[in-house]
Amino acid sequence: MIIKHMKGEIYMDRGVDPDKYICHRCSNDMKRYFYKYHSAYHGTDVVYCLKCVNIGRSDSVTPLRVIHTARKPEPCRYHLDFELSEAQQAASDRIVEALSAHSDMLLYAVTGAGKTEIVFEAISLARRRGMNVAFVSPRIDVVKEVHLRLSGAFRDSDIDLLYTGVKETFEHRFTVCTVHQLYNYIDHFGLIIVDETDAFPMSSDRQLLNAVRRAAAASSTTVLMTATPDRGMIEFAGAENVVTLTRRYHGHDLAIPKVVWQGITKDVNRRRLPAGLEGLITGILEKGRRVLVFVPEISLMEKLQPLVAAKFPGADSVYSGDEERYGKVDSMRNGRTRVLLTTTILERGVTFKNLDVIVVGAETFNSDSLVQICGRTGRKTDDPVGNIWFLAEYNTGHIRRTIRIIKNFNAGRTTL
Amino acid sequence: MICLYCHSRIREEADLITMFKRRKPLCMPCRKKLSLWRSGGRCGFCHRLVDREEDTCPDCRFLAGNYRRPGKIMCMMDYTGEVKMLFHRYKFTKDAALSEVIAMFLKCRFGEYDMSIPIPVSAARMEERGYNQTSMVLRAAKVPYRDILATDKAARQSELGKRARLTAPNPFYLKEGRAASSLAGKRVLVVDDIYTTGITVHQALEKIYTMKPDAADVLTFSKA
Repeated sequence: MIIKHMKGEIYMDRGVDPDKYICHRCSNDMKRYFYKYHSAYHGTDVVYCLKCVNIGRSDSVTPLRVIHTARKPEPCRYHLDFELSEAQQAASDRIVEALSAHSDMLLYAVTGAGKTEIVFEAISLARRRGMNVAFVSPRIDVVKEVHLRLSGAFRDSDIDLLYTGVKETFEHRFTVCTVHQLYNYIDHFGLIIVDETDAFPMSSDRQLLNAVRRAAAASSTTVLMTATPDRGMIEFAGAENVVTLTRRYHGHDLAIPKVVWQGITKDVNRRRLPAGLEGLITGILEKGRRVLVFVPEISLMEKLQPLVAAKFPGADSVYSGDEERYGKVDSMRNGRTRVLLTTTILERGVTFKNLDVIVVGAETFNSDSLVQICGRTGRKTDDPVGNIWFLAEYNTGHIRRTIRIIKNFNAGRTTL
Repeated sequence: MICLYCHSRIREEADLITMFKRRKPLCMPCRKKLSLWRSGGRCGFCHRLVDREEDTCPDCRFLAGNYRRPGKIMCMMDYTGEVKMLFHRYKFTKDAALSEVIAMFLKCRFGEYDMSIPIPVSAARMEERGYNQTSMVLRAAKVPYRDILATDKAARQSELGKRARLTAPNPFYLKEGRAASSLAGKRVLVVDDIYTTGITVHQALEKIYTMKPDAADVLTFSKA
């Protein structure tokens, strides 16, 4: 079923139970995420859910309406410019098997393994069998990028695109959307693929994994994809359904981060560009390469950016609320910007050629982020390795764990 | 306590000052984002961003030719991308909690006026939204107001062009009753949510001026 606001038959008399504080749409039951006000128009108090208000308000005075799921097969051909590597092909076969067996799957793959292409065959097969397919991710950037790639590969299919503020829908048979949008689907999809399952806010919000469960039909397959699985994801898929991919598609090793023991906050507070950072950036630019500098906080980045730009003209910075965000990423991509300071928003979903990475304040990042950040380098066949430096004041478990995960990947092992 | 704008939890240190202060439903980063004013020249009357700073912009001169002006126009927030988002959520996704957030930005001496009058919404809009977005903010700010205006307008203002807004007949009328007839000699404040072309407010003022108030000013939450 698909929850629609204005049409369809009544599924629940009201979206929110005002006495128990439960949202029937997103199953939120934490009282602080409800808002109550007196409505003169309705003549009563109105309670609505703040967790899912962005996809249309669910409240105590409006019924939830649904339309029923329709299933219809289509030929669903796709095309790929290259052939899958042996490891990719093996993983693809496993997912196809899981689809026939209606079992879930956890695809535990190194960054830059070519995960998206691995699921093409399963998507095509599911659509030929009439199952509805969803490709979801917690990150809007990933959703947009995947929609472009899928539209390029599945040229004859109508692919829905849904995220806050954007709605391009056909018949809800093949949907690319953010995880939050799944709150509107019940028992609808035969195949759900979740990309970047470890990304915020899915990592901290168990409710979202429940939404995936509810959106999936009774006999269905959910594929979780991640480079850093946690226990919850393994439980979700079942330990016997974990498929691992430890090699990148081009077969080269991941670069191992070099740790430099240096804090930068003291220098930055004194309006000085830290000498270590300056040396590293100079070295990178001399080799004709580009660099992403990851900074833990926006406030620190605002102080650091003018210092870097004074030494390296054209150095720019980007963060999630930045209105020129996409323009700045584009100018990094085509080489106009060669030094870009960023928060964790560029930790996934971006590919730049000839890129090196510096992480300042590495002691404040967690290992999920650090693994993703390291995964930004060496994503192209003609530049398969790259360099990574961590600038840290002191060692942390997360830094040690990141290096262990990467070394294990290179040795063909996984770190569970 | 959560921030009603970004829904993250607000953790505030408890000290002597914060302990006795009313807690605000907006976190510091969000407050900073929403209080931003774009730099540049502004019209001295309606506060619109203009290329060259001047006392009255072409829009205001045009309105002055067609309507009687208010005494002054006060604008509480700049219509930046973030504020635009705020009002979109407040008005179109029906996130009524944001009235408390907008109320935090009202810096106006309401006591100088005898009466605050919110711009009304039509019956169609009321059915859709369930609240008058302007009076809801006034209620959240604990400002007393009187609903003496009504409207029979059907189309959404934000869907109409400037010409369509201007040529349409004045959609407002004064409600029958004591409140409207007692306007004479009073200082009145007309409150609107977003000031775009100014035509809405000026049409409402046209009706109010018929009751001969002493003065009429305009308060708008944001200026598009």
